[in-house]
Amino acid sequence: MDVAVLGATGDVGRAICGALIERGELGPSSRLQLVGRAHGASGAAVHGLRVDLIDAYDEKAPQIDVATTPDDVVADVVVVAAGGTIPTSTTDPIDRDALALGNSAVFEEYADALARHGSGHEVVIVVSNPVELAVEVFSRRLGRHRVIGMGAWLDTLRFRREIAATLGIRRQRVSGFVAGQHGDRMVPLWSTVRLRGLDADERLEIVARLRGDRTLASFASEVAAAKTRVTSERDMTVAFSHVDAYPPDVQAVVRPYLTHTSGAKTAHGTASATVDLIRTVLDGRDIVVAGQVLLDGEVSLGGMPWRGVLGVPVAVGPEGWTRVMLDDLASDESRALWEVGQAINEAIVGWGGAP
Amino acid sequence: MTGLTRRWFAFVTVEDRSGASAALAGVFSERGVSFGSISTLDVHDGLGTLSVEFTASERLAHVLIRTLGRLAVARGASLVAADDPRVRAVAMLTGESSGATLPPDTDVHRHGAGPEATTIIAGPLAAVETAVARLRHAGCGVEALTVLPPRGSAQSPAHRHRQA
Repeated sequence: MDVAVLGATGDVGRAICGALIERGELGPSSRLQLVGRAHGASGAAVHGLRVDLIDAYDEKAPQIDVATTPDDVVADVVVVAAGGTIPTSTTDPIDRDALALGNSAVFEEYADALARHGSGHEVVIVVSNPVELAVEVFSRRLGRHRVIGMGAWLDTLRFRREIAATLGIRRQRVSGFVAGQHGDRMVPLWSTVRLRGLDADERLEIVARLRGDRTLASFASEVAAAKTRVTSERDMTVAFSHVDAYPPDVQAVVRPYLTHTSGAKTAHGTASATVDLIRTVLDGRDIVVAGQVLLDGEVSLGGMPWRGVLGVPVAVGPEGWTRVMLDDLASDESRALWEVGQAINEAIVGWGGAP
Repeated sequence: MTGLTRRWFAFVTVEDRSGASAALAGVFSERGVSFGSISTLDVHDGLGTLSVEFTASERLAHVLIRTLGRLAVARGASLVAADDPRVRAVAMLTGESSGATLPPDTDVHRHGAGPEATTIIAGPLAAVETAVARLRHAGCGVEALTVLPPRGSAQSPAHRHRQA
């Protein structure tokens, strides 16, 4: 199986390429295609990246190919990490509209090329932001079941990790999902949290203790207040220690925000979550993950079948996602998802996409 | 073959170095497509052309040819349907062949007589395959049957030499 990474020379693109090879996800007869832009800096850098990767991993590297035009993208799995990124400076507001404006043309160009020349079976994993816009653009052109945004999976892994860290256990003992929009408007689905080895009563007691008497109605304001507090602290050690005082769901938003704005960015965490999804597709087994997908009535929100891009738990296999795996939600979760879904649909219309 | 699958030939020009055939074979095996035949055509100036016969749907055939073209060792790849009249072939057989009636659009060259006789047949693939089938039925042994790309295609050795 072959994997193409659009935007391979960016921070996240590089980390994805390295992780794919390091973890041995691509065999020697597989091909990793590094994709850059012919007329941009990446058009030259992508050739250097190829040599650098071979230097580092010659013993186990797959075949490494370079492409500098969208028409030359050929792979079974296409990772979209191309386009502009969210600035790291806290003095710069996160302007998702500007990001969408700049990246929309990039998404459309690659999606059109894949629609023209592709096999009709590529699975597209979206890393770029706004992930919801990219999922919408690629889904409309390639078919929605072949396109998965990895933002909800990254948020899910962060949510699990924060729960695990609070309880002093490893992440693999925690399950549960995050839905909604990637980032500040994620919807932590506390009702889906499971802790391996615990009975339902034991788990409910622990979750209640972790969560406190809060509901998702206050989640957005808690996140905003936490972000203001941690970014006002000049000492990063102190700022990160402030994060530890928040509940796990708030930590899951604020800790990566602080990591990004510290200048370190979150390339490795993002890459690791992306490679998880790639492995799921390459494995040939259906596994439940969370992802941003274009829904067409698979779930009901606000009393009606929902249509639009939304992060939800889905079964993912070699042909993309097949089913939404969302059981009955708590009332605050259902309401929060509906609100976020509305906001995403309105934003996508504003960015020139179809709701 | 079903209505969906057809017989194809991929003509792939690759660098003449170790690993080239393995890389090419990997593209097919990763996708569960087996070769009907594979043969090396001209090898010259560090480049060689391989002819690969396989059966697949048109969609999968195009995926394979685009993927072959992305191999580091590949310098070009083209796809031709086996029933394309421009596809040519050459066959060599042993045994007495003078009694058989062969398609008129084949060029036939015979050397010697009796069991040691050699017959070389060239022409469009379909005609050569018909001739080979008849001669095999007549008791001849088939030494080789090699499929050649359409004249003037990027993978035609003659064309490549003209470009050089």
